[in-house]
Amino acid sequence: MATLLAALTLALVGCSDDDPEPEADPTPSTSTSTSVTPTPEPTEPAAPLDPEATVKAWVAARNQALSRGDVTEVRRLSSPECSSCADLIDPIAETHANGGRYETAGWRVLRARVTDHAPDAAEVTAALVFAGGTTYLSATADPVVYEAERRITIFELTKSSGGWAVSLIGFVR
Amino acid sequence: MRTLLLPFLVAILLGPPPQAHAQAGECSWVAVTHMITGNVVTQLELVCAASDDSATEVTGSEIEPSFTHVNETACATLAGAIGISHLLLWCPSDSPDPEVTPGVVLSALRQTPLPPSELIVQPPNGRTLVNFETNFYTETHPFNRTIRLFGQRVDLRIWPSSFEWRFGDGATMATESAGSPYPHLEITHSYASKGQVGPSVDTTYEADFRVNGGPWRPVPGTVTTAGDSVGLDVVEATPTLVGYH
Repeated sequence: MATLLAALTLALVGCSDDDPEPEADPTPSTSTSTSVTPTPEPTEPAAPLDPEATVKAWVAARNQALSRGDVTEVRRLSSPECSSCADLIDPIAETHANGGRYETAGWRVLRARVTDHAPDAAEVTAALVFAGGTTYLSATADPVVYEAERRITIFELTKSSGGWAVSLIGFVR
Repeated sequence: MRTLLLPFLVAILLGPPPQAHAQAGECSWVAVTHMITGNVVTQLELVCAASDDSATEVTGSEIEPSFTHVNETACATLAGAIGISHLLLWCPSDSPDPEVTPGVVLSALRQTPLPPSELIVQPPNGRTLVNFETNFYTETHPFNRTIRLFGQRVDLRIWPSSFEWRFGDGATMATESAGSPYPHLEITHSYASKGQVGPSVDTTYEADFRVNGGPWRPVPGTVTTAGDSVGLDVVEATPTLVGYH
């Protein structure tokens, strides 16, 4: 386990910027435009995400799952053995399967930095804002109303051939 | 108290704690129940024991330790390491536990594994006859559970309130009765044709709850647990002359 000095050093040289992230919108706008779609140019394969970007992608994918019920992407960004990920994903799938829905902006990454790094493992500490909102756990359930929260959150990641994946999510308060 | 705490934390240690361990002393990941985005979920929370462990309570039958906020130091250190300055917003020292409402208990109950009912079929041994009153019943009994929500003890009295019988040939029946063994036939079904079927019974549970030993209140909803199907071979009886003189 790294020492405090190492943690602070990594934090200071972390690859994150200090600007607040734009709020993740779980309900992206849809376009009804009928304009001609340009032929897509051949593109290079997307570069693998680094640990910090993986965390941001995980949060964005969970927000998408809240609004659409499709947990495929957020599961893809989670390692198979990440039970703490599943604990945050499975209820979303269950709620949508039961006809429920989420009326919330989801989570927002206010700040994220790599606080520990090894060739095949990394730790990202993030400041997350949980938006308030209303959840209906099923089609007939009474609404569950909740306030916004701020949580210091630790993401542990492991690297495999498919890139970085979240292997543990824990909260500090 | 510390000698009680340490074995318990070891038992629920879910992985190496993060950097904060180095700054905050004895920190561990523990599973706690919390509401996130309206779902009651089990989440990992960093718990750092105070030097005198005065805030820790361990009772053997409960599913998670009780603790108060003894890890502000770890939180503040981590928040500071990523450039968060308004520490009181992120690491409050006096954040109250949320109220355990009936809706929260229902959410927790729905995420608590409840036992499926074992379907018993008569005649036994996985065979019955076409056009025969096959008997079905189950022996699911009420039971109690204790969970912790938001750091508070919640006792649950749970009982099966209704059953959905699925006979495997497309026919179903809903009852409040669990059925009875032969000869007290309550839940019966006649199969019209031979073949393999997989009958099962889904059980709907209701519950009462109380918080910290307070008055019992009803949980405002039910939870249904699907039962496993049972292999059943429906055969035709063919009259056979076994002797005539």
